Formats: sequence, C-alpha cells, structure tokens
Amino acid sequence: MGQIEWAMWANEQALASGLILITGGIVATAGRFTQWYFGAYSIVAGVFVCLLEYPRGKRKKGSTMERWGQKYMTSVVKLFGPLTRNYYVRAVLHLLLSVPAGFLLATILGTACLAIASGIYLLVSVPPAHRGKRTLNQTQCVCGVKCAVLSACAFHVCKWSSVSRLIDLIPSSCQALIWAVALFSRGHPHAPWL
Amino acid sequence: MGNWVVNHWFSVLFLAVWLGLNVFLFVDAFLKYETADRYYYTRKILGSTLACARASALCLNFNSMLILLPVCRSLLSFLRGTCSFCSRTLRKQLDHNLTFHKLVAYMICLHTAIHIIAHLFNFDRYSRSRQATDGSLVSILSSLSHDETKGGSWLNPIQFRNMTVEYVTFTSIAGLTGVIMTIALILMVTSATEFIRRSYFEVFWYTHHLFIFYILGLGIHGIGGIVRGQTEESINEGHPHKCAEYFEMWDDHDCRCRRPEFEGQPPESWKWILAPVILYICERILRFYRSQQKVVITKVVMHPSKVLELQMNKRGFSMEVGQYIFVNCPSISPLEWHPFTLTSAPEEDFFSIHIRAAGDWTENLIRAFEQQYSPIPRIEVDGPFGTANEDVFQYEVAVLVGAGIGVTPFASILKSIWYKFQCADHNLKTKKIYFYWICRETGAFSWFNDLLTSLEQEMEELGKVGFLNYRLFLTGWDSNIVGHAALNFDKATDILTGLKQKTSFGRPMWDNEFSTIATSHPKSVVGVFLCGPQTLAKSLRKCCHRYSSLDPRKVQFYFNKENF
Repeated sequence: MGQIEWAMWANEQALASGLILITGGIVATAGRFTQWYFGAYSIVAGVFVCLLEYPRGKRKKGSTMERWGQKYMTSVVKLFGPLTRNYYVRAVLHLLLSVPAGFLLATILGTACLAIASGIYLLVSVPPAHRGKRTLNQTQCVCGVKCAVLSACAFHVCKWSSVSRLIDLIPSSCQALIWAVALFSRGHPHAPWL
Repeated sequence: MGNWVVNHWFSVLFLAVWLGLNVFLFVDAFLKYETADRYYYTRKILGSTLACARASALCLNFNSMLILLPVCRSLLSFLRGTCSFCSRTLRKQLDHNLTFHKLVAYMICLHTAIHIIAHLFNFDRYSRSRQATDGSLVSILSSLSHDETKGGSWLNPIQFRNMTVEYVTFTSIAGLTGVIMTIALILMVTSATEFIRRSYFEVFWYTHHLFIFYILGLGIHGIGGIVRGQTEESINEGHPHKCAEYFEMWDDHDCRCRRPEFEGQPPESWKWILAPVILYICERILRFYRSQQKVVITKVVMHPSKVLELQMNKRGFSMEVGQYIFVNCPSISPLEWHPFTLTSAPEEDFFSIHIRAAGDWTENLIRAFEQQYSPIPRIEVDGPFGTANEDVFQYEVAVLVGAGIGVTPFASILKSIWYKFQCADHNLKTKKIYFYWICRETGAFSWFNDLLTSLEQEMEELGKVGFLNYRLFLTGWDSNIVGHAALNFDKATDILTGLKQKTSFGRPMWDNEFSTIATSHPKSVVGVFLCGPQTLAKSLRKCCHRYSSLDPRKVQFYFNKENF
C-alpha cells in the first residue's frame, strides 16, 4: 500500500468531476432553473477542470499510458509551471472552484466529487518526510477544519436563499475569497488579518 | 466476418436480450406513467419528466439486480461444473462475466444520469408550482396539505414557499440516499478504470466495497413515498378527466368533485435486489469459511529468477486443471487476497503455486519465506475457481500459448497429461497438443525445464513422441546468445535448456503455425488457449478467425483467453 500513487486516482476523480460539473451546468442552464447562472459558472469551471486534468501525470514507478491526444494539452498546462505541477495548489484550486457550484442542486454533485478529488490531492501533497501517522492526522485535521470553516462561511454568505440580483453576489464573493485566502495562508507575513 | 459470427453468436444474442429487456422496461414504464389516470394530476405539475425518471428507475432496479451476479465466483464455478453437458459455446460465456459486469455498470451510470436529470427538472417544477400564487391548477394541487390529521394526502413534497430544493433534497430520505448512492457510484467508477486497476489494485478493490452503501441506499431510497399518485377511492369519487377542469370549484359543497387525494408508491427496489444480495452474502460467507480451513505447507522451493514455489495441503481441497486460487498472508496484509494459478495436477496429492516477485505483496511474501530461521508464515487459501482451461481435454487438438509467467496454467495441464498417460486413460479426447512458450529471459525457464525433460522421456518410453509438440521462443535474445546457439547447432540438446527441442529466437510467426496446424488436422476442432498480454490475444484471435473454415465439418479454431 505504501507505493500507491493516490494522485493518479485523484486525477481520474477530478476529470470525472469536471464532466459532472459540465453536465449539471448544462441541465441547469437549459432548464432555466432558479439561480441558473451558477449553472453557467459550472460549465466554465467544468471545462477548465477537464482541460487541466486531461493530461495524465507521469508515474514515479512504472510506465504511464498517455490519454489519447493529451500532448496538445500538456504543452499548455506546462506553461503555468509550478502552479499546475504542485498538488497542493491543485487541491486548493479544486476546492475553491467547487464551492460556487454548491449553491445549485443541479451542480452540487460536481461540487462533492471535485471536493473529494481535492481531498485526495491534499493527502498526496503532504511531503513524505512529514508523513508520520500523527503528523498526517494533525495536518489532515487542520486542513479539514479550514475547509469546513470556509464552507460554513460560504453558506453563511448566501444562506441557501435566492439571490435576486447578480450584483448582490459580488460583495459576498469577495468576502468569501478573502476568508479563503486568510484561512489557507495563516501565519504568512502577508496574509490578510481576520 | 462469418467466423466472428460463429464464434460470438451466443454473446451477441445474450447482449441483445439484455439490451432488449432494458429498452422494453424503459418504454413500458414510460408509457405507464405518461398515460395512467393515477398520475394525471402529478403530470400536470411535472410533465413528461415524471415518466422519464420512473422509467430510468425501473431500469436501475433491473440492472442493480444483475450487477452482483457475475461476481459470484463460486456460483459461476458451480454452473460450469453442473453444465458439463452443455455445449462448449454456452460454457464459454461464463468467461466473460467481468465484461458483462462492466457493461451493466455502464448502463447503471447512464440510467443514473437520466434519473438525476429528470428529477432535477421535477424538483424545479415542484418548486415553481409551490411558489405560484395565481390560483392555477398546479398551485392548488401544491397547496394540498401535509397535515397528517387531514389525511396527509399531499402531492407536492415541497411544503412551504420558502423551502429550497436543496433543503428538500438533503432532508428527504430519497434525496439523501440518492446523493450518497451517486457519490459511491462515482467513486467506484473512477477507481475502477483500467489504468488504476492494473497499476494500483488495492485502490480499486477497497473503494469498490462502497457498493455496500449503494445497495443499502437503493433499498431504502423509495421509503418516503415521494412519487405520489391519486388513490383509488379518490379516482372513483371524481375521475380526473371529468374533475380537472372544475378545479376552482373543488371546495364548493355543491360540486360533485372533491379535492383529489394522493398516496405514495411503496418502495419496490428491495424486491429486485433481495435475491442477488442474499446470493452474494452467501458467496462471501463461503469464501470466508473456505479461507479459514487450515492450510499445511509441505514444501517450499526457491527457483532462480525470484520464483517461489509453495506446495500445500488442505482438507477437502479438490481441483481441476487450470484453476486458480486466492491466497492471503495475514502477516503481510490481513485484507489482501491475490489470485494465483495452480501449477500442480489434480492427480497429485498436494497443490502448488509458483509466485513471481511482481509488486509489494509478492516481494514481501518471497522475503518472508526466504528467512531461514523464522517460522513459516501462515497462509490462507480460497478456491479453487474455474476458468477456460478446464475445457482443454474436450478438444481433439489443443494449442496452448503461454507468455512468460502465463505458462503456469499450462504447467498444470501438461502434468495432468503425464499422469493420464501413466494411468493409460483412454477417455482422453485430446489427440495432439501444440505448446508455445514465449519468454524474455533464460533464467525463468529453469523451473519448467524439469517438467518438460520428464515429459520428453515419458513420451519416448510410451512411444508417443508425436503427442506433445512444443516450441520455446526467447524474445529477449542478443547476439551473444544467438552466436553461442549457432556454434552448438549440431548438439542433440539445446544449450540453454537442455531439452531435445531447440529454442527459437524472436516471436512466433502465427500465420505459419496456424496454417500448418490447419493442414495437418483438416477435420478437427482446435482449441486455442492463451495466458498472456492483450496484443497477443488480438493476433491469436485474428488467426483463429482467419484459419477457421466456414464449413462446420472442417477445421474450427476456438479461442479462449485466461483473465483475472
């Protein structure tokens, strides 16, 4: 079990989540459900996630089978360098992308799946040197608490109620974003102070 | 094309019947919900998406019933054994159990998508009709009370105007179980892709146990009775076709039509999945019980090239050629079970497996057995389970192809032939065997060498040299080996293996081999058995199709692939 590269599964899960986000988004937009604009966001987020996750990363041990046609995307993904290579960045990115889609029933499945993929990436990005049992649990707990607080904050901001105008959403989203940055960069000299 | 049809007609028929049943169930349920009077008022709010959701639900029930059956290994082995009177083609279908399991899984995914999309529309329409205040039919229907004292005959599950669909989803049994089931399904599917399965089997195996949540969720999904239809009484009092247009007057005393009353459907998923779940539970209990029986290791042999041979005994264990067992070593990993083909013959008084170092578990096992001074680790065994190789003696002519470690099932077969000859078993249908072993390195030959040498001698003594025709191919050759072989060309035995048959270098030319066999046995049925990579399977399958004659009386090649 020690040699399992969980990131490979996280990649499959994230790709599937991207497709689910796109499907949910199309259904919500086509059906003009209440708050259907979250559906439109979901389509864009889903396409972005699919494009990012389509190139399969190279395994540390053994040969890797490339996905059909992935070389076209690989060159684009590589342009962003460490942003896309680093699994911690991916984990946080997926978590943030998944939150807005959680406000609409049609796309909430995509949120859950993308959040799970984000969780697996987070598990992988803990460096092996620190991967002792207790340290891992502590890190996981802290990350879990941060994610939970972030989600609670996001829900508090929108309170499961309909937002009558898109423009009302902007201050709430800004607040949520600042909270997100603060939570994940606590201790950094330039972190926003809550 | 003709050969493909002859070889695959049963699979095609089986799949056509399965697809046909799916289509039939979908259309039947769709029409029922679109036309039934019971759902007249429900359709007024929801439209055709009600029928869509219910039709896909019925297909989901049907496919969930089927999905557990192909993975009941013991049941399939039992069917194989009892159906020995069935034709070869029928028994071959049991080889494709995993393919069928995957197809049913894809169908479940498709119907889940249809079901969820239809219900998203349903919830949205319920929500809108709850919020409508224009006194239309839908708003009156939606306002039917949830109050239990007034009969609880509501239609719209959304009780209050400010209740969001998300709230209803996560607080109703149907919604919550639906979400849990779908997430379990998605996790199972993403961890079951070919890449993950082949590279990190444990991820697949442990995640796949989420099916327990899927089955449990499916069983209780319909308990809430969220799909409502009009009661019989209510229809008798006031038929919807007559009363629907007078909805504004339902509350008036002198109107013949009363407010319609609704009731939920009783859950029916459990009826579909109960039997397969019980069968599967029996299967797992049987596997566990068999694994608890004591296994005595009688001999441990360490072969070159890191191949470990274990000879074992277990009370009540009986096997056939080419079967496999699952092995567990609690001291290495308590929950991992790995399949290994049996390399001993049924006539021997022990059963053996050859294990090659190919990953974490196997390397740890070999290391544990290499320790000279610590006690031998305990082994648990489950099985044996049957595969296509049980059929090898039913063919007049058998072509056995093993690539690398894929030769192990054939070790069992060849040993069995040796014993059958010793007992002069005249019931043996097989008249000739062509054996091809394709291997990369010479070191891996050694444990098989002894077997082939003894077989060579045996054949000579019994005067049946022509019975077993074997060719060995070394694909990882270099110019040194070839040079050495060329120098020793005249020697009677091969310099690499010590066998009478010379080793060939490179890959076999299958076209030549097949045409030779076809011309030597123009009227026989030839069984081709492969244990090896997919690419080799493709070329062998192609050759089987090409060299099988369309006339059923002439030579026929049947292809069987071993798969785990």
